[in-house]
Amino acid sequence: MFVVLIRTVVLYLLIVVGIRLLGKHQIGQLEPSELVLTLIIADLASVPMQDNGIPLLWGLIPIIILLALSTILSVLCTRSIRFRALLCGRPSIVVENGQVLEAELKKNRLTLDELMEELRIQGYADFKSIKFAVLETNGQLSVLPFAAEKPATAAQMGVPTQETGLPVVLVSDGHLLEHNLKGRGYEQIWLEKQLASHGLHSYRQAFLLTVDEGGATYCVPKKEAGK
Amino acid sequence: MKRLYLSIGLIALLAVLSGVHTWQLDRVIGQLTDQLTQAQELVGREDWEGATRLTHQAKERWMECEGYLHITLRHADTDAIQVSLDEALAFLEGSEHQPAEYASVNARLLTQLRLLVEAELPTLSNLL
Repeated sequence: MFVVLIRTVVLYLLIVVGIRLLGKHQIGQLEPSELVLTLIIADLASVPMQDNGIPLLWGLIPIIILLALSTILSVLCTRSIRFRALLCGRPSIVVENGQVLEAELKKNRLTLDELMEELRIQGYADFKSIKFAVLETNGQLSVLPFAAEKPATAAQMGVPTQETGLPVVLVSDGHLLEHNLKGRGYEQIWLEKQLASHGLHSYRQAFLLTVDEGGATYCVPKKEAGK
Repeated sequence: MKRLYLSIGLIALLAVLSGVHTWQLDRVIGQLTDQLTQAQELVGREDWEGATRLTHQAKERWMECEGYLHITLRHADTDAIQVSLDEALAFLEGSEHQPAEYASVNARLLTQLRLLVEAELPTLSNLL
């Protein structure tokens, strides 16, 4: 039993590290080659995990080879447009100027029902408001409405707006993130003042404290501190 | 590009290591096969002591590599060979000599060893 435990830990860690090394792209969106990789790795790992009679190497080596091959393919994809098109395919326009392109639907084996379901999920009930709908290589549908159908922006309405920038977390669950504090150019004294303005004596009492580029803070005290 | 070279290097390294493993296995099994074949010949000449000595040497050689073989080969295969080696030794060291039984066990052992190497060779039949 102990052997099974160790083998499981080894295989799990290998897959987690391997998938992490492949990059964020692979985690969120699966291209066809990545889907194949995921399916095969899951199967390869489970066999030596369950059967002690099979050497662990027989599971590890194919997984390492697959991860290496996947890395090679992804690097080649970023370097060559042709190779990317060959491996991942090309995006397909399935709706153009409010018209469904039947040939493209057939080519992608996408039914009308599936297309309409996907459009409804994205908030479009009819084709008339859609300028383009593009079936991406990872299977997701991107919808671009006609300009007249797009929601009005503050700039179009002439409403003055202020950029707040990206808020940075300074305190997370009672832990001070010093590199974020220094990165924004603030000192400990400034932090103490901000905490005091929210009725807190120490950052340990804060559950969350963020600051945006304008210097505005947002604070959520810990439940114990709030009591 | 670093990732590309690293991945290609990793695959190349594993390919080389696999080649070294097959060569090493072929060498070890070759030695064992020679010793066991000689032992068989000695039994044919009624030299049971000589055959026992050679089979013991083969067993010792096998045990020297046992850890490595256990890590790289299917455990059922390595265990079966160990059992056959013990069986052959039991026939050789028994008070009553049974040449036919010993020959049968030794032949099975030689076949097991041959199949073990053949399974690791990058041949078309193995690939398919």
